[in-house]
Amino acid sequence: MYAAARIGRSLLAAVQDLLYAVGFGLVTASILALSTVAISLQFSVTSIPNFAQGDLMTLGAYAAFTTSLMVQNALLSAVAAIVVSGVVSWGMYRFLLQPFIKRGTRNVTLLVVTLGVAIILQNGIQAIFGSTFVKYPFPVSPPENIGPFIWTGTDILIVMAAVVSLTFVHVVLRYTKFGKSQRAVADNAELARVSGINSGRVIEITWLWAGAMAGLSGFVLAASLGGLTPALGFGFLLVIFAAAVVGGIGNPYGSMLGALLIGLGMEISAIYIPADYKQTFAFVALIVTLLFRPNGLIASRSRVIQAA
Amino acid sequence: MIQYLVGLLTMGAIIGILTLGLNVRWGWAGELDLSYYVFAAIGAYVGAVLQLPPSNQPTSGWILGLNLPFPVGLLGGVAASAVASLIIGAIALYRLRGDYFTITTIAFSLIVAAFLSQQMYIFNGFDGVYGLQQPFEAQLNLDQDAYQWFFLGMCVLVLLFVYGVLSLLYRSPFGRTLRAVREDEVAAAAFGRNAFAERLKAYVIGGVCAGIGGVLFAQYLSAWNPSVWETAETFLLYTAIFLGGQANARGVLLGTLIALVFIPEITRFLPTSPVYEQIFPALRQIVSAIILIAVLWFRPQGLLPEPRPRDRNRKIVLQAPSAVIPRADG
Repeated sequence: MYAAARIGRSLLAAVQDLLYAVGFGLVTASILALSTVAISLQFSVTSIPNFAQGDLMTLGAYAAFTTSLMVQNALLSAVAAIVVSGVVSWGMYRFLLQPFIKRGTRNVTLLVVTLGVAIILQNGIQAIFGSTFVKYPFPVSPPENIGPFIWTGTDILIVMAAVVSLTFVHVVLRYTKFGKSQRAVADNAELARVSGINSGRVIEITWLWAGAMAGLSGFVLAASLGGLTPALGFGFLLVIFAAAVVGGIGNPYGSMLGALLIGLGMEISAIYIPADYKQTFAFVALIVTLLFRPNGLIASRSRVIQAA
Repeated sequence: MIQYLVGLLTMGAIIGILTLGLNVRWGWAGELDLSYYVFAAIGAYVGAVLQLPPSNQPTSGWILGLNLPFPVGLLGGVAASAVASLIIGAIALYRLRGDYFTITTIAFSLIVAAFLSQQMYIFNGFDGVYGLQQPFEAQLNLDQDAYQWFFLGMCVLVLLFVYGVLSLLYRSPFGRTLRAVREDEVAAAAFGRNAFAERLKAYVIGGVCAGIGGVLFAQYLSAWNPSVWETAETFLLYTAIFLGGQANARGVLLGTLIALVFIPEITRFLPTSPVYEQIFPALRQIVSAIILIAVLWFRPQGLLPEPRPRDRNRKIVLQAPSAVIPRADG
């Protein structure tokens, strides 16, 4: 009788732990979804993994930090993050990558260029703000029981921001003229161009858009951690790649799924293995996916042994 | 001043060995590997724990601790790097090329870094291994200055040895096959070459060089810990390779001298201000990144380009390898 009660209680505790982990996982997935959809949008039109994506996030987070010191308003800080990262991302494409692409530079070389931009952004931020951990001046709300989960006020805002942004992505891609052009360019830029779509402009706007989403995700990532360092984004970059690859890079809906799986997986895995290996879970998922299902769960194009 | 220069040249020779090895992976085989320093680290760690006495800390410390002489440590470290290269290379190269190969190598390097940092008992986590004896110091019985010269001589000899072996390999049938695979994997496969095996060989050869460089590096520092081998360090090696000239061993050494010895040392003499202490390391990285992008734009083949392929009949001039000359179309 007692034994049964004890088993029941421990079972209940296990389910409780699992639910809490799912709660944290949903927050991680929300942050991840923003950045993964951003990288996917940008990849769909340019086909290079942008290694500066993580540092565009850091840039957004620091733009929000600077704004928050002047006006203590989370919304204005988010706007600053979106604008600064969006403009820098657009500039990076327009003035650096586009000339290289026009010249016919190989993809691997372009990757090295984005890596160079990543190093410049990260160290530029470090030169200005220093490498110490800085905190946002926003009030911190205590964690509360919300449904089956434990969330802080920040967590709720993060999930809401992700839901709103992803709905926005869906609506734009499905129901606007720009979305239709964007999908056409992603499918085949040359064909889109001869059909009268201004491919160049669509690609530029996509980079602006992807940068803006990266900035927002950097802000919410830093907000969920309470503060930030210049290495914030670069450390998160491989987790983003993992989510993008698992879901199917270049496909925004696949990326949402990938972000959900990696986000939940990372938090749930922390129950069973040391929490220090959370990110390792994502990297292992990345490698396993590339080896056994290289096109991701929702494939957008084949990627095994492409011509380098 | 002389001692300072000797130390600088020793460092340069060790980094030269590392860049030559990375050049095999990237310059010869054309695979952008960002986990390269992991193999140097594995070589350094294994070389160190073979030579060190057993660690007596209860929860941390290091494995082995066999008190073996330096040559055994060197061989063991190199063997460990080669085995690690074989395993990681086989998994990463099996199906993946280009961007996805690169992402996979970073994932591997982060996994290894997380594992070694958390499992304290293997290589003492973040504190790393320390207290290495200088090789042959006891036998030679030299004073400190003379010993520095000896160590420099040893590193330069090893560098020349690596350079010589790699030059022979570059001109060998294996080197030619590898370049064919790099230029057009499908065509090379159509001529009966096993592209996977050739690329894996190049990956392991690069790993052996990383192991040699790593063991010497750890000896020079007499310690080794995770802060030495971050992904950014591999990026700096690439700056040297792109600047000097991919797939050209002399170019790679020239690039190492300029990008990794000369420029960092010049910036060291800039005035530092205590308020902006962090600016200079950051600026150094920014400068190398800007150099890298500028080289890719203005001189993508590097200062000393890869030699053009030649037919055995010297009168026939072949086209330059497309890997180092950007396509004109587009």
